[in-house]
Amino acid sequence: MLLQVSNLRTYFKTRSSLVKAVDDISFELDQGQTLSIVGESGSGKTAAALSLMRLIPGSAQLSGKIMFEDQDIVTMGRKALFGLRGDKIAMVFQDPMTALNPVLTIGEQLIEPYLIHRKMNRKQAFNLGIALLQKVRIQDAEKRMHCYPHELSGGMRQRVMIAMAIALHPPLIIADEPTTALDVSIAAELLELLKSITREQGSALLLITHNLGIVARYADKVMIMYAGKIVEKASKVNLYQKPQHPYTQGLLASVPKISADTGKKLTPIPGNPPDLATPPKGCAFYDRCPFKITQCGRNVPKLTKLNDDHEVACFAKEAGR
Amino acid sequence: MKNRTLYLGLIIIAALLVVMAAAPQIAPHDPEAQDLYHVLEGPSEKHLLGTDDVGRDLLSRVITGTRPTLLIGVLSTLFSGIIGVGLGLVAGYKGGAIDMAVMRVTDAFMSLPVLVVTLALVAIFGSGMQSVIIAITLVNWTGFARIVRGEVLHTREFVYVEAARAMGASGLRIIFYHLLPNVMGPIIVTASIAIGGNIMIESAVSFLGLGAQPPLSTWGNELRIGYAYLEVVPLFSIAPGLLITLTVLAFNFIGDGLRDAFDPRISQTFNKSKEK
Repeated sequence: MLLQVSNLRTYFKTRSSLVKAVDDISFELDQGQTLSIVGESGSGKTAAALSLMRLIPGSAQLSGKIMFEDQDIVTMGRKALFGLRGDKIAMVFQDPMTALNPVLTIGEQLIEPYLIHRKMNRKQAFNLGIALLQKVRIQDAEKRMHCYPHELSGGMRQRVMIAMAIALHPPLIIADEPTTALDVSIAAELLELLKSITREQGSALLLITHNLGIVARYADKVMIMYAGKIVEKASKVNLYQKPQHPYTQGLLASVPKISADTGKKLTPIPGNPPDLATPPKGCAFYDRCPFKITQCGRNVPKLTKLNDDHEVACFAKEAGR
Repeated sequence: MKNRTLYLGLIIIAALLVVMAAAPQIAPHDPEAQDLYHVLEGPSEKHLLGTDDVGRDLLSRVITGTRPTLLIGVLSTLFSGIIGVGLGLVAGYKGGAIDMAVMRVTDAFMSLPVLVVTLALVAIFGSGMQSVIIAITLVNWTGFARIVRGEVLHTREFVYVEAARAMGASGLRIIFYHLLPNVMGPIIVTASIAIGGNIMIESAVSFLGLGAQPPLSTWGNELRIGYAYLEVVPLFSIAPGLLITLTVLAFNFIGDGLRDAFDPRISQTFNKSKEK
């Protein structure tokens, strides 16, 4: 087991309330496996990802356990943590336009992992940097090393971000909506690239996205987050073929499919997610759920196993609808 | 030509630097050679600007005075820049209690009057260039600290700072490798204006007789001695006075020009208002 997260909670204290951005989530990730966390804005998926590297502000409260290669990241010392970031766990950020420093050349930024973690000299690192750019299929790699970020297109910049993440062959790569800022054709290309490189290096990939239709299909396992909690966790096949949670079903129904009848309308999910500062007493999806029963408004459902590859948190499901 | 003032300022400063470097060759006389038979003379063929109260050639004095004057201006700016930028970077990046503490210390130092600090330092170390430089540095770093802190507060929120942290970069590395180059523009602008301002302070301090001591000549010194003979040989104080004005003006031109160059919004609105 590469990564074992149990009862992870990330709370942010605001002046008037406690926002439970990540509320008691548990999951595992094996070596080389791809796990996708799917959820809409504000569902806590990014907060969960940042918590894995403890990149959350000091004022946030983090509890639970994050066992990574037999070390607990939650209680880890500063030095070990800094050694871990970038070397063992690397991150690809959402917007390649802002994730690169505008006043440093691509090369200067690309070789940073080597300088920080391997104490290499610049010349060695520079040569490895060129190889990295070639690996992410950037043409004229040597010339690009001397370019500034504004001279590159969005797709190229995201390739650079991927190159930076894979530089040290980290066992885990976290990609936080890596293709949201790019157009569809480039997005598919980059996902293929990310997937093939992680497979080649044997890295596990945590793919965070709001796009259940396309992006999550690159994963082995999919986790659906809603209002800081995991509502459904399943293998990809199970999730797409037999979605159990009403929210997952709603998400799938609202995604256009090429195979579907062209005359059929997409079904939106009515309503909005609850405010995390004042969470409802029962199930967070209660207000929007078409299948709710009385119990749903009173208690919070827990994840229950349906079979080895499928867990869901829904009272209506347990009651058999 | 765009940004004319910037180039004008650069040309003046370049000329001054040439004069400074070549002072021993350019100066027509030994700036410290006294000639008591020819004191307080007006301009003549032998002494283009006339002579001072002990018969030294004024032109030579003013030319050799370039070096200490610029040196005080540049060194005090450099030192205050190093202190101010360093503290501003740390305060802005760390935030919270550290920021609070640094900024209150900054406020305290801002309230120090330069001349009084100089007086105190002169009392401790004796008068001279060091005391002036230390005094100006003590008061002047605050400007750098405030500007840099403000810029960093804004810059540190960019995703690339978080990306650097995710890569395992230490706080120091982020501050000096990622943040510093991004706030370099305002620092350079502040520095070029500060050099001019510091030359002014030097002149004021020298005028009170607290600066560099004779026989070393600075423009402020010349101005002070010449002031006593203003009615006899006006050029004695007017020449160094004009040079101070010109130099300060040149540094201000450079500062303003660079500010325009660094901030596209200013030059755009400027061009638009011109089109109307």
